[in-house]
Amino acid sequence: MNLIKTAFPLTPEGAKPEQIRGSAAPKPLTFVGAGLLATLICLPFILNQAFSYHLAIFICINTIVVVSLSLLARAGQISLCHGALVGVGAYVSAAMVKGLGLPFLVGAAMAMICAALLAYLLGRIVLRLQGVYFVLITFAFSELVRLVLLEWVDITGGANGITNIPAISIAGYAFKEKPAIYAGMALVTVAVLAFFRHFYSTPAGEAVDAVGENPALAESSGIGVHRTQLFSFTLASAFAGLGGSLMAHYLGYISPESFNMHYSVALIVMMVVGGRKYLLGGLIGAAVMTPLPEFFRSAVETQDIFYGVALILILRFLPQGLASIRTGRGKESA
Amino acid sequence: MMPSGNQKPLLQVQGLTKRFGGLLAVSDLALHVGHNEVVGLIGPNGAGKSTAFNLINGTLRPTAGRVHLDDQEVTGLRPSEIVRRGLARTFQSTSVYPDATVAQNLLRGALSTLPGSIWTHTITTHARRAALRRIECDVDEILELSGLGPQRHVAAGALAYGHQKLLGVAIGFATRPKILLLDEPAAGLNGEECAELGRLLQRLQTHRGIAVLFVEHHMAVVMALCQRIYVLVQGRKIAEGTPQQIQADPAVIEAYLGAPDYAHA
Repeated sequence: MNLIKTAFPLTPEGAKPEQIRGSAAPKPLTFVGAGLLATLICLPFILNQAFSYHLAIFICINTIVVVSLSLLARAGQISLCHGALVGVGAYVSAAMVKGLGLPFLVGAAMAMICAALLAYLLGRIVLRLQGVYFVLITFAFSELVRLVLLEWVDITGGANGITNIPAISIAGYAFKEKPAIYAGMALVTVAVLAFFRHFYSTPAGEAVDAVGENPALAESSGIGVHRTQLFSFTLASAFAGLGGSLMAHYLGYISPESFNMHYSVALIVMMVVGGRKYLLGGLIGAAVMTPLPEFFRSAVETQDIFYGVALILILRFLPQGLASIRTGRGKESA
Repeated sequence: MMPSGNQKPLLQVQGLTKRFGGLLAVSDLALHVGHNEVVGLIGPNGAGKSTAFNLINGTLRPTAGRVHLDDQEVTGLRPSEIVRRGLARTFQSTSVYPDATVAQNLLRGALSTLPGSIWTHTITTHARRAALRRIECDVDEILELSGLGPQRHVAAGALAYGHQKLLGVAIGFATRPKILLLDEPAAGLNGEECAELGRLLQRLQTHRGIAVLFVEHHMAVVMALCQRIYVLVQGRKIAEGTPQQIQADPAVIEAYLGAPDYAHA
């Protein structure tokens, strides 16, 4: 069963342990679930190599971004501009901290706010579109963001990007060593997962799933499809902005090409491989797909092929993603 | 025929018209449903009954005409906004959230009764917890009324067809409407299930006192439940009246009841 669900039972105090919100109802902590998660988190410390820390940090960032992307997917829309919104967050944060000399936390908060605001304004207009039309518009928007980052040289540095972005620093402590950065990232990732775990058990989370499962029924029983999807798009983008901020300050360097279509597509592949309807799908997808290309370092140009192959295999044999292996069938007969 | 007393009708539809290109699907339809009244809308296939429903509940935008609910104009609003004003509808085919449990389906139906919007629903406050508890009690009550109690933890997609239709009606009911629009609730049900549905509607009526407007081909159900009936043929209303008046109306007999396919309607 979902590790986070099992590892972090968030029972709202005062709520009777009813079973109405069946799949969302917190499950009791299991030693297996908690143990697995703890092992996963501690693995980089055990390996204790710079490269495994680097990979783990990227898995954390990708997890945050993919989990937020799946919020929109659960509301029934697929976005091809999530990578671009990560980019918006990265640039805003870099500009705030490096350009204006503000603290990292302010930069990260502004990254979330700006990405969310942009998505809200975009969503108000384009979320009237459904299905493939929405996908196409977000693709166009993704290209638009890339071109703005490329052409607005004064602020974004154009194709050269922004270099020497200060490291993450909170209350005077700068995260410069990889183990420290990873520990911080893991903490943020767990917090984000816990947030979404809680979110899906609130009425807002229930509305998101309702709209995703049967939009016609949701609309005609009082759950506005447009309103719910706009909310999901905005909230998802806030976390994309957070991911971007973390990435910018970890790498110290960003350029428009880091946030192009390929990144958006890779995020979707991670989401689908992991399981788009499961909270842990984001973590599993990021954990599986982030290191995958590294095994084929010797043939860089073939990396995309492995993403494609993984996607096709998953869609053919496990359409609900890797996270469904243990939960998928059990849920049907629950 | 105006409703009894000086009370205004709950649902008032005037001059409702919908044109799809050259096809006039609904033409100048006028109807009203009073508080606590059960009204039927009948007519042969393609008469425009479902279109009329879609126009009233906001799924489609009418070419002309107005819809008033409780003295408020609701023409052109989104269905979800109209639901919040007290008008819910169910679908002709089964329409449930297949992956969610029966109880969860009803909870989702009741979400529209939660104060605030989705932007504030993420935050758990004391008042929200109380509202959620009220909704959970509501869900329990509807489960009991509809007889779906034993299936409360079953995934809706795994229910039998008849139960899924019943659940569809129950979801509509969970929105706490003043008026419920039912689109062929008895279609595809066997005799026993039909009777069960009729009893359910009567129970809901006596418990909550809601008005019902329904489209139905199953004449026994229509004649048994409805206080008044409207007859629609090719988008036009050709008759209205009590079940007895409708059964005796020559125009209705010719256009509808006398049709050769009546036997298996």
